[in-house]
Amino acid sequence: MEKQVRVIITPKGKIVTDFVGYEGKACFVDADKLAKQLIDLGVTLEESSVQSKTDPSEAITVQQFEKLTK
Amino acid sequence: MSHVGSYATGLSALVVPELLLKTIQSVAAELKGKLVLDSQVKDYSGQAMGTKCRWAIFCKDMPNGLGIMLDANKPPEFVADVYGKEKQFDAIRNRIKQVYVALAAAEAAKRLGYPVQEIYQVQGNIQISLKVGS
Repeated sequence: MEKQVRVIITPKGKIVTDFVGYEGKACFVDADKLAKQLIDLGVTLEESSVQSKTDPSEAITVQQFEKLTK
Repeated sequence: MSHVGSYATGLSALVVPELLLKTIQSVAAELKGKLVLDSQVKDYSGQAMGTKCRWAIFCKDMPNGLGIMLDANKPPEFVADVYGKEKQFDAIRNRIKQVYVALAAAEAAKRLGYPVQEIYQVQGNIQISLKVGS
């Protein structure tokens, strides 16, 4: 399955990432790479904001996202 | 005379000003046409705040020169001209930070070799889709 990362930035600048097509904790490897690049740019990616989704249909919905970032 | 609101975003400590300027310029140029944010990078020198802050990012929802102002001679700090919109300063500040984080995320993805497929806004959130490969 093709892998895709969805980076969502809230109106307050908080980041949530959806790793679609990843199995289990494999997403944390790519999340770590992304986090390192973001740190270079002065932005922090928190581990709790990284989510693995095996199926694109499981990707976060707007409603779920809003709940998550409240 | 414009009121200049200034604030530290907490983003600046790790960022070298030149790197930040280059990042914003290159990302904005690369995403031109794809960027639904309607943001653009503009050389601000010669204008009211040009002596202090050379570059700015403007968005259509920040008229009257609202945007990110970057001072190349000091550690980067974001300032916003909020003249006439003082009551909206918090919202403006958050919007600026959001746009910056989106640009930084796009740049981080580019450095990792993950093509940016699309950037769009959903109910106030900015979403960036990256193709990672199989």
